[in-house]
Order: sequence, then C-alpha cells, then structure tokens
Amino acid sequence: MPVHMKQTLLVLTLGLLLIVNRAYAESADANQLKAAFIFKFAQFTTWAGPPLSGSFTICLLGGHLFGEAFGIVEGKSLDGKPVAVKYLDSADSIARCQVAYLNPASRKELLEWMGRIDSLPILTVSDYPEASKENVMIEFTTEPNRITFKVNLSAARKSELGLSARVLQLAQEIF
Amino acid sequence: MYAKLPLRYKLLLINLVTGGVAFVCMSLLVVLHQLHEGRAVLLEELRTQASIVGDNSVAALMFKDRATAQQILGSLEKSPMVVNAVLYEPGPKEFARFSHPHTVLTEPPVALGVLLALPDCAQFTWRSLNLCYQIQFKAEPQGYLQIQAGLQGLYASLAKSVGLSMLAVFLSLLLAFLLLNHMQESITSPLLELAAMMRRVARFRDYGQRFRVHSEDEIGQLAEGFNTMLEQVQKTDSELQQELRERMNAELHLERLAHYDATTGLPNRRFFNHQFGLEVQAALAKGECLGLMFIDLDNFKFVNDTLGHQVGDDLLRLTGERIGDTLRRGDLLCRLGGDEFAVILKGLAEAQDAGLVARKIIGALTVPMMLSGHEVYIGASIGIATCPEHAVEPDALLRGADTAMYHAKEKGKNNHQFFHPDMEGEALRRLAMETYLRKAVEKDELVLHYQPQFDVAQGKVIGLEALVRWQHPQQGLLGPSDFIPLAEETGFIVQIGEWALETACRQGRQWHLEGMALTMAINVSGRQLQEESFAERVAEILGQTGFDPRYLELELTETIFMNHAKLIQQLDSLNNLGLALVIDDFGTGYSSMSYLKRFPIAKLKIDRSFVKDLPRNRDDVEITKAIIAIAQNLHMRLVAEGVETHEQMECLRDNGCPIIQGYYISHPLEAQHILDVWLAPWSLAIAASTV
Repeated sequence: MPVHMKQTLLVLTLGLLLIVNRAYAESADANQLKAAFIFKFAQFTTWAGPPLSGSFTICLLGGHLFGEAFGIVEGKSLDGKPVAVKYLDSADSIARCQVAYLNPASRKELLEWMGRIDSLPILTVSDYPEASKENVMIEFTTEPNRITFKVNLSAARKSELGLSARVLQLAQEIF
Repeated sequence: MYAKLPLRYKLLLINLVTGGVAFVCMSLLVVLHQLHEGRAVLLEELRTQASIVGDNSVAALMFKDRATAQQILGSLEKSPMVVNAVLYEPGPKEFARFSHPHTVLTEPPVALGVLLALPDCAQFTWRSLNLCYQIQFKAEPQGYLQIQAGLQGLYASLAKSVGLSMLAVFLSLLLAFLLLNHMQESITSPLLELAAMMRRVARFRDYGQRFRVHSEDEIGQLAEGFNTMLEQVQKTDSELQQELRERMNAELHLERLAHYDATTGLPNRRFFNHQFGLEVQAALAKGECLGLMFIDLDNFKFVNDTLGHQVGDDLLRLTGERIGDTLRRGDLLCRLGGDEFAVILKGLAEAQDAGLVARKIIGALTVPMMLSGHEVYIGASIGIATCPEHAVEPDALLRGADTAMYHAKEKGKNNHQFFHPDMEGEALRRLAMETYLRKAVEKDELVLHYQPQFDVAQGKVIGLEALVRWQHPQQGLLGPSDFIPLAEETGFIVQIGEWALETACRQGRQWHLEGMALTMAINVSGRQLQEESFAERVAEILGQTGFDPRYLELELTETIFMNHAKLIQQLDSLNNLGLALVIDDFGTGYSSMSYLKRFPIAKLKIDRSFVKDLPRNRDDVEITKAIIAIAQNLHMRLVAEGVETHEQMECLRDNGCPIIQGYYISHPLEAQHILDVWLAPWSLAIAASTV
C-alpha cells in the first residue's frame, strides 16, 4: 500500500476507535451515572431493618455491560456499611440485596423478577420504560445532562422503605 | 470667656457638657454594640438561611437537578437582605445561582476561594456579608452554598437607632437642663446671696451682718466661715473704734490738759496766748472795745507757805470762781500761772467800764475765804489795758496790762490801775534794767560800797555795812533802790545776794588779815531766805572765803517775819554758824515783839525815820529811848542809821546808843577808801570831842 493510504487508514481506524470508544465511553459514562444515581438514591433511602450481611449490597440484575461501571460505587460506604456490588443472573438470591437494579430483556422478565422481589425490603430501581407501573420503586430515565425519575411510593411503603422527601421533590412523578 | 460666666450658667454648661458627653458616649457604645450584635445576628441568620437552603438543595445538588436547585435557591427571595446565592458542586463548580430581584449591590461578592480560606467561612465588607456553607450529606461534602447579603438593612436600622438615641440624648439633655435650672438654685442662690451680702458688707462697712446658713455642705461651711470672719472683723473693728475713741479722748484730754489749768479748771496760759490774738482781731474787726486785765494776787505766797499747797490750790480755785462770777458771759478768765490771772473783757461800752469790773473783782476778793478751817484774806493788784485806746497790737496790750499791774502793786496793792503811756517807758526801762542786771554780775558791774559803823564812845569804826551798787553802763552808778526791788521780783536777788556776801566776806577777811577786826554787815532779802539752801550757801561762802562767822552780820527787815513759815529753822541754822542776825529798820515793819523773843536776833538797827528828827521831836526821842531800852534789856547790840548831824549823834550817844552809821560818819565808800577812813585822824577828833 502507498504511505498516504496507510495514514488515511490509520486515521480512519483511530477515528472509528474513537467513535466506538466514545460510544463505549459514553455508554460507560452513562452507566457510571446510573451507578452514581442509584448509589445516591440509596443514600436517601431508609430500610426498616439493618442488612443481613455486614455489607450493603447493590445487585444488578440483567446485563453485563455495566461491568466496571458500577465498580465506582464499590468500596464506598453506606450507613456505615461497605458497599458491595453483585451481578445476578436470576432473582434467586435477591434477598441478599438491599438495592436491585433491574435491567430486564423484556417486560415479562421484569414481571417475573418483581414477583419474586415484591414486598422484600429491597429498593428496586430500573430504567425500563414504565417500570414503575410494575411496582418498581424508582423508574429513571437518562437524559443528556441529567437523570429524571419517577417514584412508586406505595411500592416503597409496602416494602417498608422510606424515601427522603428531599429526593422525592426531585421526582417527576410520584404515585 | 468661660470664667466670666455667672455661676448658674457655668453649672448648666458643666452639667450639659458632661451629661451630653456621657449620653453621647453611651449612645455611641450602644450603637456600636448594636452594630456588633447586628452583624453577629445577621451572620447567624444568614448562616441559618444558608444551612437551610443548602441542606434543602443537597438532593438537587447530588442529583444534578439544576432546576430544582434554582427553585430552592429562589426561596431566598423571601429574605430581603440576600443579594445573591450560588450553589457550587464539588470543584468547585457553580451549579446554580440566585440573584435577588430587588436587593441590589454594586459590590461583587467575595470569591469562594477567599471565603474558604477564612476560619468561619464568612467575611464582612463594609457593604455586604459573604459567607459560604458546606453542604454535606451523611457527613460527606457535596458542595457549597455561597451567600452574599447586603448590610443596608443593618445600617438603616442602625441609623434609625442613632437618630433615636440622638433624639433621646437631646430630650434627656433638655430634661437635665430644665431640672438643673431648677436645682442649681440650691447651689447658686446661697452663693449669690453670700456674694451680695459680702458686697453689702464691703460697701456699707456693716460688719454686723450675718449670713443665714441653710445647708451643712461646703457652702454652709463657707457661710459659717464668713460669719466667723465677720464676727472677728466686727470685733476688731469695734475694738479699733473703741481704741480710736479712747485715743481721741486721750487727745482731747491732752488738749484740755495742755490748755487748761488743772487746779482751777480755767484755761491756761497757752490757751490765753492762743486766744488773745484772735480776740483782739475780732474786736478790731467789729470795732468793739476790748479790755485786758492782769490780776495778781497779793499775799498768795504767804498763804501758800503758811497753810500749805493744798490750801493754796483751794485758794486759787476759789479765787477763780469768785472772779468768774463777776464776769459776764463771753468774757474770758484764764489762769496764767502762779497767782496771776488774766481777763479778756469783750464788747466794752467804754474803756472805763473795765475799771468797774476791776473794782467788782477786788470787792469780791475782799470777802475772806474759809479754807480748811482757816480764814484767809487776799487782795488783788489789777492792771488794765484796753484796745483800741491803749494799743491795737496784742503784744503792746499785754505789756501795758503787765506794766499797769506792777504799778498797782507799787501803789500799795489791792487796787487797779489803768495803763498809762508813761508807764510804757517805765516798763521798757524795767525790762532793760532786768536784762542788764542779769549781766551785771558777770560783767563785774556790781560793786560793794562800805559804810562804817562808828562807835563814838570808843572813837573807832567797829564794823562796816556792805551796800551793793551797780555801775550801769548807761545810767551810771545805781543804788539798791534802783534795782533791788526788781531783783527781788525776778528772784535774781539770790544771785546778787550771794555775790555780795562772798565779796564782802572776802574783803572782810582781807581786812582781818591786815589787822582790822571789823564786823561785816550785809543785807539779806526775804527772797533769799526763801531758798531752803540759803544757810548752807552762807556756810559754804564762809568756808570758801575763810571769813570768821562771828564777825558776820546778816541784816534782815521785819517783813520777813510776816511771810516765812520755816523762818525759825532758817534763822536757827544761820545762828548756828556763829554769825549775828540783825534787824534792819527796826520799828517800821510789822512790829511784833514776840519775834524778838522767838528768833535768835543779836542786833537791832534803829530806823532812820526815828533818827531824822532827833532831838527836837519828843516822840522820836521817846521811841528811840524805848528801842534802846529793849535792846539793852534783851542784850542785843544796837546801831542807829541815818545819822547825819552832830545833834543826832549826841542825842543817841547820850541815850545809850553810841554806835552810829550815817553820812555824819561817812558815805558808803569803796573798799580802798575805807582804809583811808580807818586811818583818818578824824576819828581821833571824834574821840577827843566826847570828853
């Protein structure tokens, strides 16, 4: 290949990588945001009783793309307990979690999961559309600069979870 | 200027100034405190607000909900002091901002970095308060809230405070002024009263004033002090007044003493001298006749010496009264001294009226006076001179009256004489003579002549009588009658007598040494005997001259017996010296035989008046014979005076008085001539003729 062609290819590749990276980064950033959001939300939440284990567990249900993104919250402490992040495939051991981020592939999966979680003292957070209708406590949407959310307060009450008014005031919708 | 203010204004000023200063200081402190407190409160408030808003916005901050954050910040609008607020997320990055729509401040807020550096994250500027608040969630910092608040509100309220306090100060001062105005009286009015009183005291010199003390404070003490001082001054003043009065009295007393005679209470010579000139002037001015009388009391000395000085004083006083009673109001009676009085008669109708007054006076004095149980008789010799008849000069009048008085004395006393121009010459002559006489002794103008006393029986001179002559420079040789009376009046006779005695004794001594044993007789005047030391003087002279006292004869006249109280002592003293006392002019004086018995008389001299008409006048013969008999019977020696004729001599001799003295034998001669007489063969002829 001639030199200038190599250069162009390099540039293109780099550009592509960048874009991909960016997209990846973007998605990584977005995931970090989500992680942060969830963590912050947890901070505004009160559980009825202390967690069973010595750590504060945030479980991620579905999707491994988050992977490292949620690593940012690991190690932080919440209520004096170190935060642990668990990646779950199913909702079997969900009871160990204090917070569950639900990323279902489908509504059916979501419902299935909710059937298992329902009334458990777990803060359910999801950005699946209309998740709050399915008794997910926090339904959030990522927007370019911020995250908006809706709060299913009755679901939270049912699980004996208290949500601080301070965060509630930020909600778009509460029901 | 301040010093000139009256006390009340000073007080007011002081109080208002101090009050004002105090109030202002207080107000200032209060305002400052208010400022401080206000700032602190403001800070607290703002901090509180910041914390509230900050805490409220923690979620928004955490969830990056800008809109909500803005909304929360927007609640700060309720706080008018907040100018702006900024929410920072960690970075720090500005997250949300609020600016108060109404409250505007031109001053930019302090940078967050600066604030964060400060310990309490707050900073006051003059116009704003900037503070920051760290927003934390679950002990983790989530961001900052920075707030800036304007201080206008604070200042406004402060200004209101200041205004109010100024008003309060003003009102307080006003109140203080009014109160003080009223109450300062308690200080100033007593002081003013005191000052007014002091002025009064000073002006009227009324030290009796006293201040009523109202209070017990220092003003009261001051007033009391003044009162005490006034008391002292008053006392001193009255003491001074007293002393002044006493002094004046003393002066008056002295004046009186100086001008008044103590004994009689009449004005004295000084007063007279002073007054007389004025009276003459007044009389001349009014064209009136003025009379001057000199009154000399007769025999005053006799009374004084016999009855004592007390009686003498009483006599003078009584005399003064009697004379005064005869005078009219306006006439002046003075005692000039001794027994002399002077009368000034004013407003005489005519000069002769003075004679009437003189007669009245003499008449008044003839009435005997009862003094200490004694009946005393006195008379007066009065000399009168009138103005303008006799003279218009006071001195001339004085001389005239004096001369007239002497004339009255010479005319037999107890009468009055008017001055006559002829007397003038006499007075002047007398004066001249007196002056010369005094010098005569020094100038050796006096000389003794000796008249021999001759014993016709023995045919020899047995003694001499020394007689004083005066070799007057102008008038020639003057005999005793020309000057002795004057000498006796002036008292100069004493000196003359002493000189005579001394000279005679000296001369006698000399003759004795030359072998002539003669007695020396010398006349002694009663005046001389008045000197208490007379006998001593005689003794001294005898001692000095060495003359044998047995040969000395002192010739005295009978008048001495009338006047001398202590005569007996004198005569005894003289007698004790060994000399002989001789009665001169025997038979002519106040004859009282008793004195022949009482006094140690050695010799008598038959007066010439009895000798003159011998032997023709039978009475004289009998008298002479009687005298001779007395002398013989009383063992007294005898000599006849004034023998001028042979018949006289014979008569005397035949009747038993062989010793004679007179022109028949010799005139008085000088000492030198006496020697010749003594040796003259004429004496032998006398002796021969007796056979």
